[in-house]
Amino acid sequence: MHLFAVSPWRPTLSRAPQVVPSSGSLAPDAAEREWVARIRLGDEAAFESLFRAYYVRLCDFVQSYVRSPDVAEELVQTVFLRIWVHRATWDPTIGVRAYLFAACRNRALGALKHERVVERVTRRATREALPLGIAAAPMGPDEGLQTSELADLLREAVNRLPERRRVVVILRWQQQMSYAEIARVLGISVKTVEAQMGRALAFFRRHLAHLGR
Amino acid sequence: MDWNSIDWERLDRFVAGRASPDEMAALAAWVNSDPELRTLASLMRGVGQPSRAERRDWDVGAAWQRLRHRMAGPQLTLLSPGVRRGAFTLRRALAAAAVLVLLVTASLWIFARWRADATTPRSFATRRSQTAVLELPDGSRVTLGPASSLRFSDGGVLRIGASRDVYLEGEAYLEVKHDATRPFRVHTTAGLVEDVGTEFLVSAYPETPGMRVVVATGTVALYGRPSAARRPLLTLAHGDLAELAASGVATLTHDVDVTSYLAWTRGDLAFDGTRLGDVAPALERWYDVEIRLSDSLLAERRLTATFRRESLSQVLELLALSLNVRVQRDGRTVVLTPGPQPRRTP
Repeated sequence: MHLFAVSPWRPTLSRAPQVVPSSGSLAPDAAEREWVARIRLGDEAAFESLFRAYYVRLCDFVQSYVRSPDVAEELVQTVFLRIWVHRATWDPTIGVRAYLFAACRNRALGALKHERVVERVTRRATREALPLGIAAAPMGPDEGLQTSELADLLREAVNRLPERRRVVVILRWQQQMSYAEIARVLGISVKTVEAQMGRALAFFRRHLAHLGR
Repeated sequence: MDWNSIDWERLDRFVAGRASPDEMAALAAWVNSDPELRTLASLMRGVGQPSRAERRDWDVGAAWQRLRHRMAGPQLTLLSPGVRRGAFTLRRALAAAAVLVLLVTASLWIFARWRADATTPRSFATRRSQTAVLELPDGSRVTLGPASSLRFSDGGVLRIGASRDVYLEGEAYLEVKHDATRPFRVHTTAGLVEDVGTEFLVSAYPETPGMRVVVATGTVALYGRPSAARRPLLTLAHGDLAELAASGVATLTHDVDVTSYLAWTRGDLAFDGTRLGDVAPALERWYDVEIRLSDSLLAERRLTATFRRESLSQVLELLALSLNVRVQRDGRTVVLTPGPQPRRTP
């Protein structure tokens, strides 16, 4: 029984798929409360389904901070382990998904701070274009801009955003969270989230405008 | 398409799935009308995912098994995020400069409620570069070394009147609450140690056959295998070191430097004329690296040193200087080769 959509959406660009509207994937409140209640009682099966539903996307999310996949896994495991250890008092009032992303973000920021290279990482991330990620099959000549080029540009643009704004964009586009849920993850007001998203969009508009050739 | 005129607000609503069903349909038609726009929308949904070079196909099943293993020792909550593995040498170099490898010591509390299901075997394991302290309900305390595991048989520690049996792989320092009616026994693959009111160290890593026992206070009895032999091979007192070879032959050394053997329980790592062949596995466990000796003769060189929260690079540097070895490090792999020969004197 999976209450949440399990697999994160990954673009398979070789076939340039039809993009379909996404459905908001937030579980109904009642189901989520029951899930939490079962975990609190020590139901390992419920905990496992929580783990399986979120592990991949949380690892992806944390890796966007720490880069090393091993460290990312370690941090996400720690988040889950802590939930299990303190399960009797686990009370994610902000919602399960918001809780998990918030906890992982805190862990990731903590790990960066721990390394005392947080500044350097941020600077590096904002200065350098990161290596190209998605190898794309060649597209037809009529399709203009190479997918790989576009992926590169978008990645670079996202990495130039300040950390909080970047999280807003990721949670909204990748996790399809509402502004309210994002606000709960970050512990900021909905208004602030909206403003952050507005600024991010303005940045993307400027950053990708020069693509017209 | 004209990149200047992209309607980012509409694109955002579409990718975020935040629109009424009618609007979503219209947005989908709009996005799918242009291949570039479609690609852009796809990429936006994948935003924040690692690039292919950095991406790993997360193995959720294996990850769950690892987590379950850690859940079995439910109070072991801390793990060292400072220990790095992976492909980012630049980052590692930065991190190595900034971060000393710290051992994370987790305190484990074994609650009385375990009495309820005391027949279930309990097992605790540490990973490399991790130590843990277990407080047993009988008042005894076990400090578990890196890459070690401790199993209790069948509620033996809890039952009144029964002997207290624990099974060790790896290394542990035991401070036993003595109880003449309930002997405390540490079993390893090589033998068995029975306390007579004592603090002692047992080391039995699988990669070094046999076992080693060092007594800090009190007296212990060392039995070989099969432990059915009811006469102890040796009785050890304070300052004694017993080494039990896999062959079953035990050797006893008096007046060893107990503190150096126990250094790791305080977060230090100490060697006292230790063979490099034995130093290497200890460093591997401590720093989570793989160390290869290019030459088997190297294993016989001996090291005396104490490391207190030094980073791996500092440790290797000292190793290179004091043992005249060349150190080549590539990520988590370290290769030691003999250093330049001293100039021959006629």
